[in-house]
Amino acid sequence: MLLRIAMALAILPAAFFATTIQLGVARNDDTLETVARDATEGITVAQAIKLSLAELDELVVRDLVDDTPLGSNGYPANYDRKRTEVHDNLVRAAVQSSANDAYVQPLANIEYALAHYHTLVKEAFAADARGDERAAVDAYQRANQVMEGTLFGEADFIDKANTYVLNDTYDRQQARTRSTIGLIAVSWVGLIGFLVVLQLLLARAFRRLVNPPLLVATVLTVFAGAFALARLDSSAHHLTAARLQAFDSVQVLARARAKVVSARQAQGHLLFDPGRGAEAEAQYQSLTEELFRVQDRDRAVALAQISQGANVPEGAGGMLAQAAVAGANRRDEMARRTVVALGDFLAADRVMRQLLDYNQPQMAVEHYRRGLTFSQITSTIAEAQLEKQAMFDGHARSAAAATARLDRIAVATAVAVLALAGLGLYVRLREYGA
Amino acid sequence: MTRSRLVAGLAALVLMAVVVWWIGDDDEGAAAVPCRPTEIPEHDETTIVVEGDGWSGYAPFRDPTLLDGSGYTLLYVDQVCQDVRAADITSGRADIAVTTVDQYLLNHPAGTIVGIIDQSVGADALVLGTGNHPELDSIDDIPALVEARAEEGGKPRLAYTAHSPSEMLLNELANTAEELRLSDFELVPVDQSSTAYEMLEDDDVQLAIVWEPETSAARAAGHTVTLSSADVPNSIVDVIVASDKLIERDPDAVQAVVSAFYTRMDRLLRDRAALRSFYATDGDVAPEVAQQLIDGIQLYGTREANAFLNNEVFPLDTALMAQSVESIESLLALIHPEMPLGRAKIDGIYVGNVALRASPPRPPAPPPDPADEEEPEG
Repeated sequence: MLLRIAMALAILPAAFFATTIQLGVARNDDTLETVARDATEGITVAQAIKLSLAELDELVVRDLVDDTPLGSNGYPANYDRKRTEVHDNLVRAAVQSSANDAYVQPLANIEYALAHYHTLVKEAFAADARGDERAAVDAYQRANQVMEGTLFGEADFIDKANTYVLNDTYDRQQARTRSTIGLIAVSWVGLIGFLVVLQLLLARAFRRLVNPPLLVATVLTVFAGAFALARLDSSAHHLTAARLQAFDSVQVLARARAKVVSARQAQGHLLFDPGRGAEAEAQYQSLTEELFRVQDRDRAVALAQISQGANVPEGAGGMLAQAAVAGANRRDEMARRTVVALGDFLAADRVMRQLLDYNQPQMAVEHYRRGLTFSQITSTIAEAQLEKQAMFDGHARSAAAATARLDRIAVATAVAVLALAGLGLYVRLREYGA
Repeated sequence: MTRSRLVAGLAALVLMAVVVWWIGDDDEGAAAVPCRPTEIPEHDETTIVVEGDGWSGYAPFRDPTLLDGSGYTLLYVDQVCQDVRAADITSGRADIAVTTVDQYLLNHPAGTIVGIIDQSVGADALVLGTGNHPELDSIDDIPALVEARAEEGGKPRLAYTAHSPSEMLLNELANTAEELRLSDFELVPVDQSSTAYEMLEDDDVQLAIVWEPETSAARAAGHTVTLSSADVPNSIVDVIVASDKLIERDPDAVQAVVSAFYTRMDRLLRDRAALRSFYATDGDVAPEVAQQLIDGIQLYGTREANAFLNNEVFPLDTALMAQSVESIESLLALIHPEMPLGRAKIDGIYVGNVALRASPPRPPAPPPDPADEEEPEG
């Protein structure tokens, strides 16, 4: 009778063991789905919206400075192309987002306010074309206020909403990983303990040293549990690396890229409307401070030292500084190059402003039109982003691969352990019966 | 046999209990802060019970003379727990609650937003404990602090008031400022801003989220205010919520409160010295500290409040209050997916009435000029 009860009882720890691993894998997959796909893709689309909006505004001021010819609809051709890109990004965001109000409302607000922006921009182009500079400046000023006061805010909101989901899921995953791994360990030790106790009981009752099927079941359990824990730990490790070492930098670099475009827009705005010199200067400084700043020393000097090969100094802040110190040994070479490119961009800006100070507006416009350092910094940031994105994708793939088929392995192991335990007990039952 | 079954059954039950406890033990959320309903003294029908907390913006409601001359008397009750405040509004124990939009949406009292009190534009802030750690005087010093603590096997501690606008601000800052990642900190939920500030002073925590008057006190004590509500505009909006029961029973009482509040604010906003003195007395701080406090709050008089609640604003062409509620609600829906949306009730008519009375009467139209009334040619 005792043997039959033992056979029945064996189902409990084996099922518990298989269930905890299933739970661990399910939780891991959920987290991967959110962290490695939904939220990160959402952030990428949100940042694409912000970037394309910033580029649209920068393009308008550039076209106004350059007197770009207008099409039959009242807009330059490059404006039409860019606003199509903005619209495509909005559609992508709408398709990817859930029905949650956090995404729906800001997207609707962008669509609504964008119509006002297009109207004001058209007014600015029309006024510029007929030579009414004051009206063009005023209309663009109002359009720019819609962009900076409303459209950027709404785009940032979508970014923030996705960041909320990412951070929240990631933090919960950290807590869950700890509790699930603990639970699997308990079920693992419980099953091993059960098999060992059973072995001892049988040894005492039947005076046989070892029951071979039970021994095989115990060894199988030891290996299966260790394997499952190692795979889950590896998956969690890759997810942490993807989130903290790669995606944080992808996100911060994407934000930086939009800031650089806005800084370029501020330069163009100054040339188009020289009357707002002090305001444009303050805006430019504030934007570039968000990209890179240092404490208690001159930023230009720090940037010059970095371009000579020095590390980003301790206590430096801003988006590019953060990306640059994200790598091993607090140095990420690709991201560090973005800081060097920023130094060149700031130096070129100083030259442009000096030309304005020396009353050489045409030369300042020519200098702005060349925009070599702007192209350089945006392409460097894009390269760094791609590198980090590839790193993120690699970690995400490894995290998924680590737990692939682990749930099936756990079930198969539990069934095998049960069968082996049953066989071991059955052999003893037959001997006992005989 | 029976005994064996019993043992097996018990073992299975214990096992199940362990599993259920373990699976459910994921929430590392804030420790529960004990909340009890506040004692409300006996009062008559003409007494309006207002519930709020120590936030400086609510100072006019703490003045028992606010409703003098209106036929009503004011009874201000301090209730730090937002959920209890909301429950009191729903049950009718309180007539008016002064609270923030996020807490109104989260706790969803049976009440209507009838006015805006202020917006925090720096008064709620993340403070670094520079007084105890001189090297910690900038947001850019946080990574070094996190690294130093990690080498010691720990994390820096950050205190904030749980279930309050501080929690909202903390979440907002963590998801907008690249420098602040919540997982880098040991979060310490406390019952109110003054507790968080005391812990900062005692070096029990290295960072704290506080609100006025503690923000000014922290600045005066040599700590560094690094990020604040000014960095996340429109996230902390204080409002007047009238209980639906009071609106139904006595709408004149609601009008009396709204009128008295904005009349007082208009008077204070016209006289900056009186404004400073009023908030200095309420917060028990020096006038210069009161000035810093006022600088961190955007206060609303009749005209501004009327515009905020009732004017459609370009380019979204909706009132700012509706925009604010939508924006905060959208954000809360992410953290609390179970929270139903679209339940907020806003009624700008009371503020509109005050604005109508406050606006100077239009001069009578001049008599028509006979010269303008010439017969058109032909």
